[in-house]
Order: sequence, then structure tokens, then C-alpha cells
Amino acid sequence: MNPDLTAIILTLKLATITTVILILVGTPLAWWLAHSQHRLRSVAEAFIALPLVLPPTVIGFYLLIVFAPSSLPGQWWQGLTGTQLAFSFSALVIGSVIYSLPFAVQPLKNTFAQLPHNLLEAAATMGCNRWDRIRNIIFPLSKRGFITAATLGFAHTVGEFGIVLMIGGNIPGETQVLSIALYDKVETLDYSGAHWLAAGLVIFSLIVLSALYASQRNTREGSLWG
Amino acid sequence: MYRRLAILLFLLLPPAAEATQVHVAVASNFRPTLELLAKEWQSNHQLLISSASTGVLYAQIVHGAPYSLFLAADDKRPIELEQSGTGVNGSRFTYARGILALAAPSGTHCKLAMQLIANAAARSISIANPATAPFGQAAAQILGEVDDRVVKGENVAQALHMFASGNTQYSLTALSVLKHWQYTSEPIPASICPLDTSLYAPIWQQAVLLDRAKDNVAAKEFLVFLQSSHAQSLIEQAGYLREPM
Repeated sequence: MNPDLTAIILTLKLATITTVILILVGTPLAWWLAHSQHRLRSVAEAFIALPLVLPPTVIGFYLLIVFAPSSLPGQWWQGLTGTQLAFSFSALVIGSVIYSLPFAVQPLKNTFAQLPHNLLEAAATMGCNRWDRIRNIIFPLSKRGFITAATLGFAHTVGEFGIVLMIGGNIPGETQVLSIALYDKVETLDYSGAHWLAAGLVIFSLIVLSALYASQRNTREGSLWG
Repeated sequence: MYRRLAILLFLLLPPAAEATQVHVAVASNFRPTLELLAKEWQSNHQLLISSASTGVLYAQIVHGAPYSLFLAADDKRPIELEQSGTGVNGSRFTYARGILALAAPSGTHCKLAMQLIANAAARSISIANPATAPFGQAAAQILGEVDDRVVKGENVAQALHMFASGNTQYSLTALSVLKHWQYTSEPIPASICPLDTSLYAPIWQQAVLLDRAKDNVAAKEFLVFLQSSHAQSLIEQAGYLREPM
């Protein structure tokens, strides 16, 4: 297969899987952050926001150590799956989820915090159980938050570079995502190839963000962050 | 909807790995040559190529990167891998001897260019990072001291890229990447001066079979091909010395 196509498919696959995991993990986390009075809430929030401020090299460095076959987590993974974690696609998924977590949790948290509580309480007094309330009130009212979280998580994963470079190792078909393929082309002085990939990424990002802002404009909440 | 999503996710699953794939970790200076050799290799097996500086690849291998072969730009790191058991004992050999070359502004006479970089008249020189790239180490040896005229790329290809994009005036890099650049793309005009090999410690480039691929027949087959006279003459044409160690 064409190496560029391989990189594109790999990137979409990574972003899709990461987004699914981000929503699954991020939703309960965001709900807890929006409603809990726990004293550790701020600490948890700070932990989730860390990738926003830390250089990717810090996260990449720690993950590289954690994923190594000689480390305990690396050995667990090997025992569990029979494959090695370091420099694998699975390692990229784990790294991407950590790196993009704040981009999914933040919009969800804001959405959940703005939910009208009297509505939920009214529903409860009228005999709606927890699942009814989630399905009929929370989900419909939070739809936009979910769209924002998924879009940002997806786009941010596509735009990832530093961590992937450190824990991925530039392996075609396994860890060579678009940003790395572009880096590789620049390094090998393949400028025409690099131009195609770079322009493609610019256009993709513009379209995604325009669509997101356009969808935000239709609502009263003006900011991307909910 | 869920079924469609399930189908989509299924399509995104990786295809079953081919048993005959040889995954080569190659030092950046040799990558263009390796791609040429891969085309010449009469085999139904396939090469999967990852390139970086020798030091970066070495660190990846130590951390468990899934490579079958390591084509380094020095002999130090292959020896270390062999001794630690990460490389297969006895599989190590010198496949090429690297030549350092200077890229200078077009029309500059080579003798003059060498004087210019020696006496600080040159404004900017890009070299590969001496800490991770053997060619960078050789370049540092030529320059004597790495002062603020010197910018470091991660590897020889990046050092050349800084020059090729017009951002540095000179580049001390591998002759092989310079030759490849001159032949293939549309390069900016430049003077290319191979350096006298007596000026720097010999760059013995060694290959080693990695332990995880010790039963990989295709990888061994490629190592045999790499030592064949056909491959060796191609390597020589690409900008290397053919000298027994």
C-alpha cells in the first residue's frame, strides 16, 4: 500500500479509537468533576489538565519508561496480551488518551455543570429512575458538549507529535502517523511529499474547527470550551 | 448505527502481520542507499525501513523497539548490543565506511571552503548531533570546538535539510546523503567537498542482527545480500569507502 495512505489510515484509526475511549472514560470523570464536593477534586482536575501545560517530552519520557519490556507495567501487558507494549500501536492509544484527556473532559464538565438541576429533581420526583434521567434529560441536553469533546479529542490526536515521536519510533503501519510521516519526509528532503501532507493537515484542521465553531454559533454558549 | 460503527472499527483493525517482513532500523546516512538496495534485492520478502540517528535507534532498541536488523553508522553501538545479548553473537560486520563531506555555497572552491570553516569566517554550519550521530562526532572533530556558529540537527539528513532549505551556509554531513540529494530532488546549487578521511576517526558502519529476529530467515538473507559484491559496489557508488576493517 502507498505509505502516505498507510499513515492516513493509521492516523484515523488512532484518532477514532482514542476518541471512543476518551468519551467512555471522560464522561464519568467529567460528571464527577462537575458535581463532586470531594476535597481531592482540584487535585484530580489538575492531573487531567497537566498535558495542557507540560511539554510532550515529559509525558513521552515517563511513558517510555513505563512501557519498556523491563518495567512492571510492560511485563503485565506482555503477560496479558502476549505482545510488547513499547513502540506498538496500543502504546500510542494509551499515550493519546492521556494527552487528549483534558480536551474531552473540559467541555463535558462545563456542559454537565450547566445542566438545570431542578429539571433532574423534578424528573426524579415524577418517578424517573437514574437511567431514564440519563437517557431523556442529560444526554439530549449535553449533546453539544459531547460533540465538542469528541471533535477536539479527535483533532488533537491527529495533531499529536512529540509523544508519538518519543514512544512510537517511526514504524510504518504501526506508529508512523501523519505528523511523523511528514517529519520523515522533511528529514529525507522529500519536500513535495511534505507539502502534500502538510497542506492536507492544514485543510483538515480548518474544516474540523470551522464546523465546530459554526455549530457553536447556533447556540447561546459562545465559547469552544462550553 | 451500532452495527455500522462495529463494522467501521473492524475495518480499522490492523492486517495480520506478514511473517516475511524484515524491519530495518537504519542510520539516516544510509537510508537512501538502503532504499536503493531494497529495490535490487531479489527476494519475495519485504523491507520495512525506519531511520533516525544511530544513537536514537540504539536507545529505541534498548527500550524494546521491534526491529530485526540494525544498520548503524558506527561500530560502538552494534558491539554494545552484541555484548548485552540484544544483538545476535557473531552476526555483526562492517557494511560500509562512511565519508564526511562539506556542502558549501555554490562556486566555492573546496580548498577555500575548508579554510573558511576552519578560521571562523563561515557564519553558520549545520552538523548532526555529535551525541547521537557518529557523523556529527566526526564533524565536531573537524571543527575542533562546537561554537555558536554550529547548529545541530538530529541526524545527518536534518543537518543537510538545514542547508538545503537555505538556513545555514555550510553543512558537514554524510557524502551519501549529499549525493542522493543532488541526484534526486531539485537541489539548490552547492559545492560538495568530500573530506580527506585522514582528518577524522574512521566511520566504520556496522550491521547487526537483533536477537528478536534470530530465527528470521529473511533478515539473515538480507544480511548475506548486503555483503555480496553487487550490493557492495552499489554502496560504494552511493558515497562510501569499500575497505576491509
